[in-house]
Amino acid sequence: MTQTSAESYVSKVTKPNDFDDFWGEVLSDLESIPINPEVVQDHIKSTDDVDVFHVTFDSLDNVRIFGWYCLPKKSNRELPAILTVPGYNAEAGVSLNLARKGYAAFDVAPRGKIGSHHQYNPGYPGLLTYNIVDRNTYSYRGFYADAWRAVDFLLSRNEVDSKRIGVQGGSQGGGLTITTAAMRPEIRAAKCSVPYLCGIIDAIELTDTYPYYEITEYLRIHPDSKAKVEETLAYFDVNNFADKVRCPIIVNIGLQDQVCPPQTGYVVFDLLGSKDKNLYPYDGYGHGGGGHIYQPIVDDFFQKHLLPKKD
Amino acid sequence: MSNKDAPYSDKPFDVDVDLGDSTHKHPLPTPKSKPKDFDSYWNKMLNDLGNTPGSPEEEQIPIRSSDFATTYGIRLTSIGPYRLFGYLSVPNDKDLAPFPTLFYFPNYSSVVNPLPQGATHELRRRYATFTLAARGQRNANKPFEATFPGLMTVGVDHPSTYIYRGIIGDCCRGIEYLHSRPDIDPKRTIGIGDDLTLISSGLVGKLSHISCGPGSLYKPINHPEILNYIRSNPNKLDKVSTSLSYFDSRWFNLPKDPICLISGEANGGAMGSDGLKALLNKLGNKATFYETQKSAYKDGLFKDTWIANQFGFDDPIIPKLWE
Repeated sequence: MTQTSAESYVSKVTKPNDFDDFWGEVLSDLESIPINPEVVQDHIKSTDDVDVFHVTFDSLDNVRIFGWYCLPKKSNRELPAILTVPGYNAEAGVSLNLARKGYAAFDVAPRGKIGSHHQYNPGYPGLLTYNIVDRNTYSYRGFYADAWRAVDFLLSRNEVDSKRIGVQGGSQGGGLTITTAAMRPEIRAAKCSVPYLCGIIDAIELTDTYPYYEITEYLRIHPDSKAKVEETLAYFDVNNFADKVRCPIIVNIGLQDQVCPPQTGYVVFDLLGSKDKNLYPYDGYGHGGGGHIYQPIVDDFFQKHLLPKKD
Repeated sequence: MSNKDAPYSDKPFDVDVDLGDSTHKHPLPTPKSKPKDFDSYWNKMLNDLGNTPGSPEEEQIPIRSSDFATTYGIRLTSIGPYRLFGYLSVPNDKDLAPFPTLFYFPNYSSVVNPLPQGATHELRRRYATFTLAARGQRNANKPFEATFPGLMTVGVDHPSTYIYRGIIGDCCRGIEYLHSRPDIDPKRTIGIGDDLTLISSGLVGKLSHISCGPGSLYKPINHPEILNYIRSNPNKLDKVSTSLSYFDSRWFNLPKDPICLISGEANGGAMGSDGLKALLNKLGNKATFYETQKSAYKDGLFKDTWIANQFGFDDPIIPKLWE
């Protein structure tokens, strides 16, 4: 895939007229549920310089959500925070290294991930097509909301500076980064890598790999549901959230990404509403998006936007 | 089941568990030789496996099948006894049987898909494919449900209870199951994964080819989860060290027959250059070393081509977006 051919791709995704009403109702439902956070230290995972905690809280439909929270031990002032949202197959990690850099680091496990799967567990493969013909019960309705609710958890913490919260993730985490930055204006900086769930109906034509291939498999068995599936997906396509992103954001893509097509990365980047946005396309790289080259850029980005200037 | 070296090395988002702490300033000392009863320990495991009927059940999964391949959910019993799960895909064109076969070994993650993320489904037109969920992974998580991170320390206080005794048994069972199928070509069956692939093939043989990188069982005492465990339980250092000495990949006999592709960093990565050199020396001229380019695309293309060529095909089957 050349950069030019990927850049010129035209998406088929359209935005439903009642898109904002649909998500406004979800946010309203979410706000009506008390968060009820519980924070318990994990002494095995805590280290000499970082305290690690198990966190649980209530989210949409009263599903209990889990996450790992890391705090630097030596800190006597309000901390900037980074929320990390997971990839499709990944589990929530323990971000000791972010805490060492001076951040309150929260890794959330949205519903169905290990730790958040006792009430809700569509499985893998499965999550992407679970109730895909009904936007009101489609898996990602709650899954997106869980990531947004994770911002409420950070806002509830005394040690977190509510004006310095960032979000980051790769693949599905890249998609969740955009939806979270779009729906939570408290987010001040966002790092999105090889984003998934952007141009979903485009991607299923462009790729022949999991996870998008789950939809191909579903439609092979349920060909009559195609219109209904496309109708549902339009409410969840990250492209349709992108114009709401106002914070600084950086995006990297791999031009040979066989999981999340680079064409879809270009489209969603163009749609981002932020005036401070930068795209880093890497030729010769796949779904890792050249992450090892990109990481210093990420460190500088968050340092610039979230960390206090050194005295 | 490495968290450090995924099959495609620039894949940080969807395969591996972020343990947060992959380097330690003060590694613990590791034993210089294997336990005296190392061989009898593993012979006992193999005996237990031999005395445990595999009792396979195969159930077609229509949604994961296509016009060119049929996918089955496979249930198998391993030591414990413990019931495992796997996805087996077999090409529909029976004239081409027995089929060259790709066996994707378990990695350090809960999710096991019918094909690993990033692999094109067109592979299933040419190859039989098998992905195995070892105990604790999704679909093989009753009654034991693993957490990631967490799995690495389960039962680590004693060699008889350490979870990897069972997991290695599970991998051996997977190899034996494939070998029992008449539609699988034993001369063209490759194990793809990390050191679990070498270890289990060394125990039961039967794989013709291996493609792997280093894994968590090379000097496992220095795995981040183990170090965290010892830091919290310093009085258990001796016990844990003794347990893990039975699981150190350095002490296993390497498989005699398969042709191997060993992938990783030129400096050996977690194994170090000495560890890598020792491994390659032991494998001799049947091993090829491939230095990762830290690119899922470049590494994947090389490995797919290597496998295709080994199995007698001129061209690899690659994802659409790589064409």
